[in-house]
Parts: sequence; structure tokens; C-alpha cells
Amino acid sequence: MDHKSFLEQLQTRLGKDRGEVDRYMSAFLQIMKERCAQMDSVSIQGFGAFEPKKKLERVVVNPASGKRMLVPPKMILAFKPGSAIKTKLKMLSSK
Amino acid sequence: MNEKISFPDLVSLLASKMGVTKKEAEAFLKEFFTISTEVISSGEELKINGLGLFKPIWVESRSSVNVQTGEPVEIPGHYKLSFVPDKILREAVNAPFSSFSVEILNDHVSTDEMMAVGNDAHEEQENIPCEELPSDVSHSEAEAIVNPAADAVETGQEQPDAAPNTDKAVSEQTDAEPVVNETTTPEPQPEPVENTPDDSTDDENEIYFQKSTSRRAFWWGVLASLGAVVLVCMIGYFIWSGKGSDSANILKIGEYTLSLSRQSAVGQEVNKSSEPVVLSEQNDTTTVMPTAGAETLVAEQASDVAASQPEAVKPVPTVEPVEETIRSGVFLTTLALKHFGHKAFWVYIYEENKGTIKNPNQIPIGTRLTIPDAAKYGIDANNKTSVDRAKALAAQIQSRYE
Repeated sequence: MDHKSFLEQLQTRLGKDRGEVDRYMSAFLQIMKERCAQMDSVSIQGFGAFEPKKKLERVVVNPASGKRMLVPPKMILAFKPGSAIKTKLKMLSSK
Repeated sequence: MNEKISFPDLVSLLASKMGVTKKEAEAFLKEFFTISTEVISSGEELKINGLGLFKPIWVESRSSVNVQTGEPVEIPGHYKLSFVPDKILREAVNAPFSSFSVEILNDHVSTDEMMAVGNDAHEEQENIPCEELPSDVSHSEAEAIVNPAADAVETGQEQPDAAPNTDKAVSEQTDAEPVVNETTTPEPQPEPVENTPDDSTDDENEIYFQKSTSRRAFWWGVLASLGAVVLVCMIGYFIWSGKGSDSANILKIGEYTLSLSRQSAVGQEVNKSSEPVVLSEQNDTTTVMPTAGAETLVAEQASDVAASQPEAVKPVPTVEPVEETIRSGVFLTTLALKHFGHKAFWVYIYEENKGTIKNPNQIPIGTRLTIPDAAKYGIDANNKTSVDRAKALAAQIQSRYE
């Protein structure tokens, strides 16, 4: 599902118009951005947890050219799915 | 920092940000996550602009071995959820490390050492972005301080050369003051020196790190030698003026010595002979020598003042032309982004340096460029017309080089 149809579904469920849902979305994403940039993790019961993680620098080798490259350290935002999503995906898998 | 934000926290944050009740904020978030969960659980991928892409991925069944019993088991095929954060979010999270880029290692470079350091300094690495900046500033400041100090001594050195023109030794007292004045005048000079290291990027800072110690030692050496030259000049002048002047002048030198020694409590030997005995002719040489000694003290104090003055007086920020040097990885666009907030404004840097840039697409490394004042070309990153104007100009310039 893409962003547009997701927003449409939100509108129908909440009974709010497009502009209002957009404002909510941008505010929510703003909070997520600020918090994750501060290394705060956001965990939502059932859905999952957004967690910024540090990755150390490492050396990689290009198999084609044999060149070694030093990849700098970085921070990434990881998402760990919660129990609800996990069980539902498991059920989907067993079908 | 490292806080864990739960659903209720998120609700109150959103409510305060939007200025709505917690109930409404909760209703929105609840629906948001419910729909997300439903979509993802159905095995469909979900893309939310600004957050990222959730994508359930089918993992094929594979055979494995039970570690305890050694029996071969088959792991059945299953879904796993992959999450790719949106570019905006990814860059926001990685902001502290955004200045790093992938580096190609040469063949002879050993990585063992590096990795060992990397593992040890795991905890330290977290703080690098914060710690790096203050120390850099102090290094560049130290440099800025040393330079004017050296300049100050140089101007001080010229002073004694000009001094012999005045015949009377009495005027020495007034001479000593101009030295102080002269040496303090170069204060405004640190501005350009201060500006450039501040604007320099991380690469330059690293070079400062390496060079600062040796460079500082070098400048202190220069400072010390210049100070010695000044002292020699002072002493030479005093001996010369002492010989050339008559007894009345010597008397005055003596008086001056006394007054000086009283002022600066450091000249204690002179204080002992602070009786009017100084008038006698035999004191000719002895009076001269303490005078010179006291004078050197003054000179030292003066140079001390000169050295400490630029430290105390922070350079006033002015609209000095900022200079940048082209290096690998630095382009007109990156400079424009850094100084004006938008890449499109590179054209104005080009306009400003038309004489030195032959082809804006290929600027040789090491070219020094002047960054123009934003007001000069009406540069405003938030103004759309200003950006558009720059883009139109860019197209014009580019067409010339095709």
C-alpha cells in the first residue's frame, strides 16, 4: 500500500478531512524525526519499536576489483516488529 | 538521550505539538498503527512518506542442524519484516556522522591496528562528534593568537630603530609607551585568520590536529627570538644614548631609572641604590645598565601585554570576504550549500571568482575562492524567486561550457 491510499484509509476511519490528517501526519513524523535524532527509541505496544543504532566503521572488499574500502561509522534507524505483527506474519507463513 | 518513548508518551507529545486534546491525538495514533499493522500483516508492503517502507519478505525454507542433537532439521519458509527508513528520517538520525564518507584503503595499509582501536574506542566514538568541535576551536584560536603576537613583536622591533632619532634620553619614557601602543594596535588583525579556520571543514581540522603542536612550538620559537632581538636593540640604544649625552642627561637617566624601578617593583637591585647618589659620575655605567635592565623589563611586559591582548579581545565579526580552497570532494555546489543554504547559488560564487575559474565544472584542486556576501546578489535560500533566478543563471553558464 502506498502513502496515498494509506492516508485515504486513515481519513475514512477517522472521519476527518484530508488537511487535518495531513497535519497530524506531519506533526507525528516531526516528533519521530526529532526523537530518533536524539537517540530516543519509540516503542509502540503491539506494533513494534523504532530504535536508532550505532554501526561501527568496517572494512569492505569489492570482490570485483579487490579494492578495500573503509566504511565510516553511522547511525541507522532499526525497526523491530512487535508481537502482534510477528504472530500475524507467522500465521500468514503457515498458510 | 536514549529515552524510551512509549505509546502514551507519544500521544502526549503529539497532543502538545498539535494543540489538541490527548483523546484526539490518541485516536489518530491508534488508527495509524492499527491500519499499519493490518496492512503489514496481510503480507502487503506499506510505504509511508517521511517514515519509511515496511515490507514483509518471504524467506525460503532451508535445512539446518539442531545444535544439541545434531539432527538435521528443516526451517520452514516464513515471512520476515524488513524496514527501510525514509531518506529524511535516515539522514536526521545519521546527522552526527554525516560528514564521513567511504574511503578507499591503499594496499599496504594494515587494518588490524585500526580495527583494534575501533573496538576499544567504541564508547568514545559515540562522543566524537561532540568533543571534536570544542577542541578544534581551541586549536584554531591558539593559532590565531600566536600570529598576531608575532606581528606585534615585529612592529615592536621597528620601534627602537626609529627611537635614536630623539636625542634626549628623557624621551625614552615616552618611547616606552608608544611601544605598548604600537604592539596593541594589531588587535583587529586576527579577524581574517580567525575566520578561515572556523569555516574549514573536518578535513582541515584533522590537519590542524596533527600540525598544531609542531606549529605552535615553531611560533613560540619565532616569538622568543624576536623578543631577544628587541631586547638587544633596546640595550644598544641605551648604551649609545648614554655615551652621546652629557652629564645632565645621565642624571635624568638615573632619575628615570628610579622612577621606573619604583613603578615596576621587579627591579629590586635598583631600589637599593634609590638614593640621590646616582648623581655621581662613577655611576655612569652602572646607571645605564640597570636602566637597560629595567627597560627590558618594560619591553617584556609590553610584549606580554601584546601577547595577552589578542587573547582577551575577541575579534568582532564583520563582513570580511570568506575564502575557501577547492579540495577533492568540495565543489561550487557544496560551498554554496554550506554558505547560502542552497546548491543553486553556486553561480554567484562563480561570478565572484570569474577571474580564477576557467571552467566551473573543472576547478583545479587548491584554487582559492572568495565567497561573496549573501546580500550582494540577493541570496535567500528561503525565497523561491531567488533560487529560480540562480538556476536560470546556472543554465546560462552551463550552456557556455557545452
